[in-house]
Amino acid sequence: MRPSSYWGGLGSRRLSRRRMLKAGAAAGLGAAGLSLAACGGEEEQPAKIETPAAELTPQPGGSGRLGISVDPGSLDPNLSVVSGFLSCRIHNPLHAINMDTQELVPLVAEALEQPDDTTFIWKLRSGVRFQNVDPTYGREVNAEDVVFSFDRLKAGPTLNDRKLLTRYADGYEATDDYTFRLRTSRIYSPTLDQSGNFSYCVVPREAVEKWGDLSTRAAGCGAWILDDYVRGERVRLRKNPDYYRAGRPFPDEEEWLIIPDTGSLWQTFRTGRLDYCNVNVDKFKRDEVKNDSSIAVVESPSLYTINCYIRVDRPPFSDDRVREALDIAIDRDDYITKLYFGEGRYNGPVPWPLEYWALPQDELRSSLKYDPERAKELLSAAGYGDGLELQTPVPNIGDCPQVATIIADHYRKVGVNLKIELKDLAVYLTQYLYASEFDITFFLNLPYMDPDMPLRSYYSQGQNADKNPGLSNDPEVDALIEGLWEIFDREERRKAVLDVQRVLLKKHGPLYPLCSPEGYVGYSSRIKGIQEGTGVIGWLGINYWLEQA
Amino acid sequence: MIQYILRRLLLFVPVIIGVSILTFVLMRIVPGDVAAIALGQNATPETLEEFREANGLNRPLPIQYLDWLAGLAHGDFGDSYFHHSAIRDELAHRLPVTGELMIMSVVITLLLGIPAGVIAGVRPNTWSDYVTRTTAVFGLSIPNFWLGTLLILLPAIWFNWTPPFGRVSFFDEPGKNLVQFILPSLAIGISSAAGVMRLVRSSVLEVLRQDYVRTAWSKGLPERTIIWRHVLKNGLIPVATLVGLQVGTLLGGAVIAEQIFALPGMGLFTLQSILGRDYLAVQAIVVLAAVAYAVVNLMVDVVYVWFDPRIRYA
Amino acid sequence: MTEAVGEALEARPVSRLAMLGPLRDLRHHPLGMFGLVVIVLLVAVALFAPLIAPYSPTEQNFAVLDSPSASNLFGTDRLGRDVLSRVIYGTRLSLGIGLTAVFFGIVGGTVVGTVSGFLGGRIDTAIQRLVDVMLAFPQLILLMTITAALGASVRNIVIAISIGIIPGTSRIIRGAVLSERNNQYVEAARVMGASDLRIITRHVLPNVTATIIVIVSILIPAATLLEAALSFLGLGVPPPTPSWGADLGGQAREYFRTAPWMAIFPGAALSLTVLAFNMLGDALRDILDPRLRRGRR
Repeated sequence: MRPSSYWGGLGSRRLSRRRMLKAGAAAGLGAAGLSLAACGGEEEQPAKIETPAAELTPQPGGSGRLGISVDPGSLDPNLSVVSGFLSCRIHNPLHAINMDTQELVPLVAEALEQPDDTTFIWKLRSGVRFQNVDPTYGREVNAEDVVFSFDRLKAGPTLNDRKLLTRYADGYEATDDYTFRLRTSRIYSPTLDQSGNFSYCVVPREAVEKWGDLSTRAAGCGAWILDDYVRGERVRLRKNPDYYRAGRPFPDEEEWLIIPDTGSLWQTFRTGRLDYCNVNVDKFKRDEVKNDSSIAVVESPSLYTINCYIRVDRPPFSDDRVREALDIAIDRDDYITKLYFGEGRYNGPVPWPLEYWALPQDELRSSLKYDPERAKELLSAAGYGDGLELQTPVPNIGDCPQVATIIADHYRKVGVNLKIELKDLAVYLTQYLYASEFDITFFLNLPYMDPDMPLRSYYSQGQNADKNPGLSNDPEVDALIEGLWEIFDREERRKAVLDVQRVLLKKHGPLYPLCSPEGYVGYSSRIKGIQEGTGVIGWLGINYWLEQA
Repeated sequence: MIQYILRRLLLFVPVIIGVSILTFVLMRIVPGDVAAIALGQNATPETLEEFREANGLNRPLPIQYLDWLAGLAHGDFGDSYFHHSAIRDELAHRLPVTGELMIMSVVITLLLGIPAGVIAGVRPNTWSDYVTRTTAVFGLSIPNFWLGTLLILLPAIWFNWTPPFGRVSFFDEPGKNLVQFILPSLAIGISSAAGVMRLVRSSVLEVLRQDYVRTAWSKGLPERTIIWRHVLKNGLIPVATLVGLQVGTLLGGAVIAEQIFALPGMGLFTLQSILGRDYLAVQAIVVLAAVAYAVVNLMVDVVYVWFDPRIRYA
Repeated sequence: MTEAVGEALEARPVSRLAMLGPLRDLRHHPLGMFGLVVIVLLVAVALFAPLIAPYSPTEQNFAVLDSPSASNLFGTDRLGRDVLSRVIYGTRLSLGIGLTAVFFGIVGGTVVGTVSGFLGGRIDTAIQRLVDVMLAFPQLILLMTITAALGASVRNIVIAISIGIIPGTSRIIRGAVLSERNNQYVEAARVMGASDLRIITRHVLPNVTATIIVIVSILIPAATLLEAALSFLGLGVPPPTPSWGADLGGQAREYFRTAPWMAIFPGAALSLTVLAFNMLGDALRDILDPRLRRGRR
C-alpha cells in the first residue's frame, strides 16, 4: 500500500477516450464493427470499435456504484486539487476546453469574447441556477458569483493552479449580472485553458459563508447534487433535476465507494459489485477478464506524470555531457516494459496524453534513443569514467519507488551507482523537493490540462514560486516559453509548442521526460455512453447512462 | 475495591499526561512541515507563513501544548490542518468502526482459544492436545495481514464474492454490517486465538494440579463440574491479561485489516495522519488509545478479583 | 508486541538452571526439534544466500509475471525479478532484523529493568513511570512515527523495533530481579561485601536468564512480523531490498489471479519462519517452566 493522499491519485484523473478496447456483451451494442481485442501476451493493436451510438438511446434512471482507491479528501473545487472528477459533477466552471478537439465548450457561460489580446469577456447563460438545496434554493447564477469564486481561488490557500489570477490577471469584475470580464497584465494565451479548469468552478457565496468551505457539503451549479460525503467511505450524489441541460444527467444517483487497497478494489469490481473502478486494467488484467462478458475496458490515459528532476546548477549535472549521458542512459523501452507491461509511450516535455500538444512518438523515440555506449563515452569525457555515485531521495508515493528502482538498474549498466533513499512524503516534500536538496529525484506531477503547465518545470520561475525544482535559469528557455504566451491561434501555438519542446529536449535538463502509461479503466457493461470526453468535460458526468434491465 | 479503582484512576492522569507530552514532542521533532504538505508545490513563503500563523504553529511549543491540553479538557481535539473539520467528528465517526472490529476480534479469539485451550489442557499429551497445539502454532504464525489478504482474495476467486463495501452501522443493517466485519475480525482474531489457546492450556494444566481440584476429583465430582467451577475461573486470569494487552494493540489500529477491507477506522486514520503530519490528529489518537488501554487494563484487574477473590491488592 | 511480552509473564524462571539441560530435554518435544531444525536451516540460507540463490534478487532480467518454470522455480515478479532469489535473500532481512532488533531490545530492557529493580527507591519509581507511559503508547504508532521521522532504512527499523521492545522487557526483567534480589544468595553476597555489579552479574542475572530466553523466543517472531507488517504498508525497507513483507504488499495482491506465486512464496516463507520460532519457543517454555516440569513425568 502506498499512502494515499492528494498526490496519489493515479487513475483518478482520467481522460476518457473514444476507444473501447473490449466491449462487454450487451444487447444493443450490436455486432457491427465490434472486435474484441485478443488479449494475449504479445503486443497487439487496440481494436477499433465503432460504437453504433445512434442505436443507443439514453435511458434515464438507475444508480451507479463506482469504486475509487483515493479518498478525495475535499470536494471543494477552488481549494482542493484531487477532487476534480467529483467536484465537476457538483459545480461547473464558465467553460471547458475539449482536449481532443481543442474546442471551447461553454458551460455556465454561453459565449466568450476576446475584444483584444488581454481582455476576456464571458457572457453567462441565463437560467443557470444553483441547486435547489440549502442554502441556495435554486437561485440563478450571476456574474458576482464568478467574481466571488475567482477571489476565493486567488486567496487560497490551495494547491490548485491559479497563477492566472495571482500573477497574470490585472483585474476582473462583473460588468453586469450576466457579464464577467477579466484583463491580463500581459498577453497570456493559457488564460483560456487555465480558466477552463475545475479550480475555476463557480460557487455560491452563501454556501461558503454557511459552511466555511465546500469540502464535505456543497451546493453548486453542476449536474449532480451532493447528498453526503463521508470521508474514507463514500460520496453520494443524486441527479440535479434543474440542471440547465434538460434531461441530464441520466442516472438518478451515484455512489462512489472509497476502497483504498487496489487489490481489494479490483476484486470487488471483478465480483460485480461495482460498475467502475479506477484500477488500471493492464494487459494481465485484461487477460483475466477477456471471457467475462459483464466487463468492458476503455482506453483512458492518466494525466499524472512521473518526472525525473535533476539539479543543474552544480556538478555533476551542471556539465552538459553528464546531463546528456544520464538522459540517454535511461532505457525507456525497458521502462515501459517493466512498469507498464509494454503499454506505455514516450513523453516529451509535454507528456503524450496531451496529444494535441505532444511531439510525435517516432520523433521522441529517436531524440531519446537509448544509447548506453555513448553515455559511457560522455561520462568518461566528463571525468566520470570510473563511475559516478549518486543518491536520490524518492517519495514513497505512487510508482516513484519502482521508477527509481528501474532507472537505477539502467544506470548501473553505464557505471553510475544510484542509491535510492526512500522518504516519506511529508519529509520528502519539505526537505528535499521544495528545498531542491537533490541531485536527481523522481516525483509525481499534478495533472496537466494544458501545455503551459508541464513547460513551467523548465521555466526559471517555475510553477509559482521563483524557481523550478532543478534550479535551472536559462534565459533562452525563458524567452521561448514566454513567447508561447503570445500566440492565441491554436494551430500556430501548437506548432510553436512543438518547436520549443525540440529545443528543450536538446538541453537534457532540468527534467528528464520519462514515459506515461496507456491507461485503461474497467466499466461494467451496464454503463453506456462512456466515451464522455476528455478532462473536465468527461468529469461533468452528463453523458453516460445506465442500462436498466 | 472502590479505593483500588479510584487509586488506579488517579494514576491515569500522570500517565496520560506523559503520553501526551511524548506524542507532542515526537510529532514536532519529526521532520516534515505541516504547512508545506498542506499547501504543496505551489506554496510560496508568504502562504506558508499565513498557514502557520492561522494555525498557531509559530507560538512557543509549551504554549501550544497547554492550549491543546486545555482544549482536551473540554473534549475539543482541535481542527485537522487538512480538512478544517473538527477532529472530534472524525474520531466519533471512526471509533465505532475500530470498536466493533475489536469487539468481534476478541469474541472470536475467546470463542476459538478458550475451548481449544481447555481441551488441550484437560487432556495433555494426547492426540487432541497435539492437534490443537499444532493448529495453534500454525495460527500464530500466519501473519494476520496475510490471512486478511487470503480472506479477501480466495472468496473472490473461488466464489466470485467480495464483502459488500460501503459501511453501514450495525443498528441500521445488522446483517450487512456483520458480513463486512466478520472477515477482518477473523483475520485478526485467529492470530490471537492461538496465543490465548496456549495460555489457557498451561493455566488449566496448572490449576488441575492444585490440591483443591484433586480433592474435587477424589470426591467423585464429574469432570464437567470441575472444569466449570474451578478450572475455568482460575485458569482464565492470565487470559484476561492477554486480552487486555491485545485490546491495547488493536486500538492502536489494526491498520492493515482496515486497509484491506476498506474499514474507515482508527488505524487508517492514524497512518494517514502520521504521514500527513496532521499533528493534532495524531495527538488525539494517541491520547485516546492510551486512555483506552488504561481503562481496559483496569477492567482486567477488576476482573481478576472477580475470578479469584484471594488476590489481594495491597 | 506488548501482548507477546504479556504471554511471557506466564513463564517463571528457575534458579540455577544449566543451559544444556533444556536443550537435552528438547528431544522430548518433536515440534520443538522441528522448529530448531528449520531455524538452523533458515540461518544457513541467510548466511549462504549468495551461494544458494540462482540469481541476484534485484536483477530485472526476466519476463514479467512469469509462472514458475525450470529457470525460475518460483516464477518472476512484477519487475521481472526471480522470486526464488528474492525469497532466499529475504531470509537475511527478516532474520537479520528480527534477531538484531530483539538483541538490542533485550539488552536495553535488561539494563533498564535490572537497574530499576536492583536500585529500587525513587529511581525505580521514576523509571517505572516512564515505562508506564511508553507501554501506554500504541506500539504501531510509535513505530510508524519513528520510521517516518528517521526515514525508512534497515537501521532505522531495527532502532524503532528495539525501542518498542525495551519497556515491556524491562518490566519483566525488573519483576524477576525483584524476586531474586531478596533471596539468600544475594543477602549472603552483600554481607560478604560484594559490589552491586558483582551481585548483579553473579547472582541475579543468571537466574533471569531463563526468563530472557523465553522472552526472546516470543519476541523474535513478533519482531519479524512487525518488520513484515511495516514493509507491507510501504513503511519498511526501501526497494529494491528484498523483504518478504514488501513483496507481499505492493501489487502482489492485485495480480493474485494472474500471478499468485508472487505473494504465495514470500507469505509461506514468512509463515514458516515464524512457525519455527514459535514451535521452538513453545518447547523451550515447556521445558523451562517449573510448574509443568514437576507435573510432567
